[in-house]
Amino acid sequence: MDGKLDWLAAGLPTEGMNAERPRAGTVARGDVPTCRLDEPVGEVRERVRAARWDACVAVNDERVVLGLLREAELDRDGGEPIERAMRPGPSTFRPHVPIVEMARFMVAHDLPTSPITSSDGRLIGVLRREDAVRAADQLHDDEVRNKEETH
Amino acid sequence: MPNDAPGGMLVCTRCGVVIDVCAFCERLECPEAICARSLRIELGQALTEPYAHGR
Repeated sequence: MDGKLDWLAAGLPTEGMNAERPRAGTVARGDVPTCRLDEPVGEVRERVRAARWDACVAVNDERVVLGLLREAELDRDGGEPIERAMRPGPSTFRPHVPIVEMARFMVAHDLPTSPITSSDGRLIGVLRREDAVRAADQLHDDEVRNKEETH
Repeated sequence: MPNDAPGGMLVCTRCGVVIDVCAFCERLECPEAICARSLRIELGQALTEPYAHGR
């Protein structure tokens, strides 16, 4: 561990005034379904739907993110291997990114889900846009309330 | 600043560099397109360490 940002990027616990502020890693859902490159899309799709998800992350044995499947990719031919169906090398985000920033970007870019990874590419979870917006709104409300109480 | 580059080119709305796809949403046609470098800076993912530590 080289420095403070590496600590934050690994999603490790923090202290201080900003420690309680929600970040991408604390709001991301760790229960997102994962799959392997050689699995057929049909089997993965069934698993994803059964878990009431609309996205799946392709990972290797070390949980390093290799690809992402959203609705469009999961709707492809059931016999196709994940390796061909997935979006390879998706944009991933570090867990220390403030949730307000992630919510702002996800709304502006109309992006439903974003994978959150440690700096070495290991999956921490998937951030859903509605979760990010809700957490950002809650943070805003809390800060307004705190400001009113101190005046 | 929306992306209104001429000739179908996609440019970063922050720094103006020509890009293939938006680094955030990975779409070819993104009105808020941003390059990977600008995105890392905006989200605080670009720094390798927060302070110079005396160097």
